[in-house]
Amino acid sequence: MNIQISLKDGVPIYRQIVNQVKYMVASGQLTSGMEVPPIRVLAEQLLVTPNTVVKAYRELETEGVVYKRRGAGTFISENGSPLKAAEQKRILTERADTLLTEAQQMGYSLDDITTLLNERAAVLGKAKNKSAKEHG
Amino acid sequence: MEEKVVAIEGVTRQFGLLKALDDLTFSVDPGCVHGLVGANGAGKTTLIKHILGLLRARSGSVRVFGLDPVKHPVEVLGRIGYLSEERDLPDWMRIHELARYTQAYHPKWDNSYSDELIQTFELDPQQKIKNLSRGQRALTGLIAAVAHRPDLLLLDEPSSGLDAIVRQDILREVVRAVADEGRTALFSSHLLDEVERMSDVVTMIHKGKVVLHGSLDDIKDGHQHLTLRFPEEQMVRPTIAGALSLEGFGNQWQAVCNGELEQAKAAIQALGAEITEVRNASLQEIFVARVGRGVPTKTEG
Amino acid sequence: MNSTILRTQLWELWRLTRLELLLRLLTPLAYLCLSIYLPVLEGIVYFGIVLTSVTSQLWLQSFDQRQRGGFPFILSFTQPVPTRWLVGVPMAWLLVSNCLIYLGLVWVAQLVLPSSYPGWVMLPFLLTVSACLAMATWSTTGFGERAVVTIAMAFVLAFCLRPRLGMMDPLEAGPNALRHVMDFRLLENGILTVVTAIAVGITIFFVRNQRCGEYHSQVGARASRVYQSRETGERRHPFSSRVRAQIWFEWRRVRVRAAAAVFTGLASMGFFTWLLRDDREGEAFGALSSIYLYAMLALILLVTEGVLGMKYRAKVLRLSVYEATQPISVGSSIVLKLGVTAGVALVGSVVLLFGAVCCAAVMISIDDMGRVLTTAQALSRTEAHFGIEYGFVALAAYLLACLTAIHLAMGVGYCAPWLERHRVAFVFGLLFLLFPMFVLVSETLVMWNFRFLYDSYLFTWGILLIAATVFGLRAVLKEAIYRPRPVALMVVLWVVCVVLTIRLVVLLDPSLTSLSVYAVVFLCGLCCIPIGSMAWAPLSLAAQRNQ
Repeated sequence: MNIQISLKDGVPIYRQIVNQVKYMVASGQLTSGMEVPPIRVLAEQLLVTPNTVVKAYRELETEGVVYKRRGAGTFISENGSPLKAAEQKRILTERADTLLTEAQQMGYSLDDITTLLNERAAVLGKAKNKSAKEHG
Repeated sequence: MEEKVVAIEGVTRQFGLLKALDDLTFSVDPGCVHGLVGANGAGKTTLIKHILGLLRARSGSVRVFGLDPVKHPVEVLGRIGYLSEERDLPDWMRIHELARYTQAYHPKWDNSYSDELIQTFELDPQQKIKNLSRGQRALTGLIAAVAHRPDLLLLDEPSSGLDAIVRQDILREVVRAVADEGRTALFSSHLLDEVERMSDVVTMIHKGKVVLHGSLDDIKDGHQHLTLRFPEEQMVRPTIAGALSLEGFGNQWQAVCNGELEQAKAAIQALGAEITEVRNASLQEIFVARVGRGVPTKTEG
Repeated sequence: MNSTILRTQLWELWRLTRLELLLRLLTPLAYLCLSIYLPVLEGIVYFGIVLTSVTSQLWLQSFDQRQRGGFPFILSFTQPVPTRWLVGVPMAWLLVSNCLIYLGLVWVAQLVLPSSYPGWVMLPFLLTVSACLAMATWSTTGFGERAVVTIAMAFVLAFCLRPRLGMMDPLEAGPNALRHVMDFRLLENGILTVVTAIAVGITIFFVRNQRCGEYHSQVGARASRVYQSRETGERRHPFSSRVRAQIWFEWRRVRVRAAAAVFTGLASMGFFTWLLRDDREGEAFGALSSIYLYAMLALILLVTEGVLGMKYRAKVLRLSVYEATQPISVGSSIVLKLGVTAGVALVGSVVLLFGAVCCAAVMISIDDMGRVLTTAQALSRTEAHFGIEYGFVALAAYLLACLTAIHLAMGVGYCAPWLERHRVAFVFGLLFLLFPMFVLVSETLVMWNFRFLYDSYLFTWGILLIAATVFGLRAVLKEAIYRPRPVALMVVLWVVCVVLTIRLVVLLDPSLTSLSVYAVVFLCGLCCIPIGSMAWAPLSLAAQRNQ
């Protein structure tokens, strides 16, 4: 599990772990049934106090993202789909908010943004078709 | 375990004219990692020496595992694993001899654990301690401190003067020690990002007094970092009631608040400035705001 | 050679040695004071002058264990100066200052004392000795190597001077007896000068090696590899108890210095036996017994210093943090340190005694042996019993004295940081100790009788010692350093020893029963020292460990 901890923005570490696990579930990197590392292993890997990992796992368990199997470890829940969708929407909403705030600061209007989005969609679509043809 | 691992009450210590500890009260709960931060000379090492019994409490009381470390050195020190700031070890010993000698005093010594660590850290058991490099010396001291699974792991500036790899090795062992049931770690450091990652509870000491104490999450939730933009450039540092500190130049300023967020917001709006960002402050920002050198505009909160 | 660098070096040497030069100039004044009173000491005055002229911190300081190279000015290795200047300037300073001190002291001595001393003629000899000692310490790397080479150098010098030493008669009053001894002729002066130059050259060569980073000599490196291969990497059995572990710890710390002290003692005994073999066995026996005592004292002091565990950290002397944080109580720590020191001293003393007996056996002729045996056979039974009892008590007193010496040395050792920090108080204490010497000198000058001063001085000391012992024992019991029963046992044993000693002393000399009150109090105080030092050692360790 590739989790990065950043101390820059003041977000508590356990929250960063929770967010990144949710993101990985939402983006499909972690599928239901996969095991997440034990508390001690993840704590050693990230070099954070084990109690932080305990807290993170507890919150993930409360929100139903993971569940604990007695004596076997912690696993990703099966009923990830509705959460997945909610989580995906939340992530994209955050990205959109960031884009809109920055655009406003730079003086771009909403129409400018829409035009830009259409342009980029077209470019990315072409590139995707091209690579599909090459590998097809 | 109900009782506190370390309980220090009302201890004062003076060296000549300098008050290293000023009526200090401090405690460590079992099973957590406790970070001790403070500027150089704030009193961290003096506090740790009181815990070990190297300094007698001239006033107040010191209790470790419920006992006075001066009167019961065998019971107290036998359950503590200590890595000193100077990495004081017998220079004439070889590493395997140090392991053998330490084992005699700590019955819970685990030979397989110490062998594993010696191998991981790439140390030569035959080498004499006086010929080790600084990092190897620190790792040897760490092995002697953790291999007997102490109830309290006490590290005084564990990362000072060490490269990033050795620092990670040390922190990893601290994590391992605490992940075991019921064991406690107390370490003092002035590398604040290390303390921020590794601590459950943080105590900030300044000039012999406790300035801040609590769980790391509570401390960070209690301090906010504001980024401000003023319409015009400020030649002189503006005054904002409710802010612990204010840093910056021109029309970009950053403030740190503790609990008086509304008051600070009102004052900022009164000055005509705009708040572009509010987030939790990092430990470094809190530390600098509380004990830094600048002329802070803070109301005692 | 850059003149600024030369000036800096000279300034550094001055700053470093100015206090020491002053002390060296003042030290023989003590001898002079005593020699006013006891003319027989005049010969010793001259030896003192020679010894002081040769002893300089510039080469003594090289025995600082922290320095790997022996040259004391390693920091100047980074200066843009050739090694020959780096070595030459301090060496020249050393030789010149030693000669000037010698001439100054001799001049003062000749003003005060009636006899005349050799002056200029001794200078080549002094230069050679100073240069050779500096060479021995500056050229070597590692403390052990340095010690060995210096001792070997001292023996070589003594060997080369043996014809001269054989003609010496220290008991003959005045240095006139020495004059014809130390008067070297032109050829010998020439040889001495050449030897000095060779010594300087050798020093420059080895210091250049140190400068280029070749710290380990070939011999040393090979020796350490052989030694290392002996200790296998297999895991030895764990210690069966803490006591064994601690005994191993203390023994390992002191084994090298203990062996060195015993070896030096044996070598000195052998050397002096051979030196004084021709005649005057009485002197030879005297030399053997004094070497034995000095070697024992040196062994006890060296081993005690080793077990103390005091270190210099950031220029401050203090108990090593590692030792202070070991889970062992103060009482056990002191008892184990005492045990190891006493054990090492016992073994060392047996070895030295054996060596002394061998040397004595070599010297005694058959006639003398016969004489000793007939005298022994002529002893009556009561005299024999008395002799045996006396022998046992003497042995017990000797053992007690050794244990007391170890305890006192430990107590002083653990008070050393305090003494270093409060030098004024220490100097006052020292002056108080030397008080009778001042009174003695004033008596001869003023021709008055200061008897009452002596009496009150002895009385004060007696009271102080008794009070210190009582308070010490109380503190030891209060802090639970020792349990009450062992302390009671020790007190009982001590009382028995004291009573037996008094009985024997009174039997030997009945006139001693009529002593003044002051002398009695003082003797009581003296008797308290063994039991008082038993309390002092752990209390000072506790003060160091828990400040």
